[in-house]
Amino acid sequence: MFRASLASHDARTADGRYTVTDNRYPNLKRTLTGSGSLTVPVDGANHTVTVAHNLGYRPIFQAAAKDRNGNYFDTYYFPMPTWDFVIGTEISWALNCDATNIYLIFFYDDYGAGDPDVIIDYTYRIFIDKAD
Amino acid sequence: MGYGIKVSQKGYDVFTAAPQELVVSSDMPSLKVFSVTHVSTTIPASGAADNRIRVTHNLGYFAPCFVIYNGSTTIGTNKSFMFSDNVLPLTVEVYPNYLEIVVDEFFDQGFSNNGDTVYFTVYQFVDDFSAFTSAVASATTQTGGNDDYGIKISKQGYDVLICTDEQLCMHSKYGCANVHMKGSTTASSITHNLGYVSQALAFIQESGTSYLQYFKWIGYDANAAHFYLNPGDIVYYVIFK
Repeated sequence: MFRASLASHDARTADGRYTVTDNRYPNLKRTLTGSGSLTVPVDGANHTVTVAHNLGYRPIFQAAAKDRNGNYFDTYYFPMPTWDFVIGTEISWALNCDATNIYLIFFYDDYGAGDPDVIIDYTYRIFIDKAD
Repeated sequence: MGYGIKVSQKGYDVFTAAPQELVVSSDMPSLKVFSVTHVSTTIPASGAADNRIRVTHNLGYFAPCFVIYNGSTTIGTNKSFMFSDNVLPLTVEVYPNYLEIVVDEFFDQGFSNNGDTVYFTVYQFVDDFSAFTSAVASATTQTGGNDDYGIKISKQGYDVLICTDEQLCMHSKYGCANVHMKGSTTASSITHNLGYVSQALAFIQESGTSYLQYFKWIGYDANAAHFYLNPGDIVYYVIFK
């Protein structure tokens, strides 16, 4: 048994909301964080960032992104996944993983309007906890 | 603080580590797993009613969760999708004592087929959305060597000496999902002053509903988070260290 509480809570009696680590309730365990940029043509095709985790199983992970010169998501980071249709452009940010990699998948389609490429900034964190 | 616990990540001196370099600290909560549940259902036929999978936890309050789609009969089960199918965020309704995953006839947007079995993992966290804001300042500087680290705690039922890392409750090798700020609000933005871009997890209680849903319209930068809400909506958020 091991339990440490938040300040001002008694570890002996605190319920799980008020502990910081508690072997009744495992912490998520983060193994890898990172960030990067990707230039995405507005061409209706998927453009994928691949990040190796090499855990041998599928992990939980989080990701967020912004498009530095996009139409809508260009001011703040937004969590992935997301999807929207903005000013004639379909935008999809999807994500998945397998036992070796995580994949961040960016899709922009302006249906032939000829919009310039979009530069994506992304960030991610991978946990060792199993997704499947 | 003259009491409590503080454990740094491997390679960081616990006496001088910044908050984001800590594994745990009594100064900040961390998402902790209440239960992990594996469930499945089928994609209903065209025109049929939605299928719903209920996962009961009986916590009695709104709590964060993480729902993962693990594939289907058609696409196989070699990939996992975080809070989404192949394209769209999952429809998950979060109630105080349970959650429901909603699978409609269009689930997976054509990547899978009506009648397919679809598989999910639900991480239910024990933490709540009560208001909390962590200190922003870095740790105070004290003397200590760079090898001042090392703690490993196993989950109940596992031998800490022989279990795998995934079977640990926490380990100095790994950071945790430590919370910088959490709460609920009807405001359009909050200031968190983290100083860098981290990750967030948010749910929305739309006006007139009794449940939360995954919320994708949270935009954030190094110092603030912005919520795109309609009148009467409440956002429940967690901003991580």
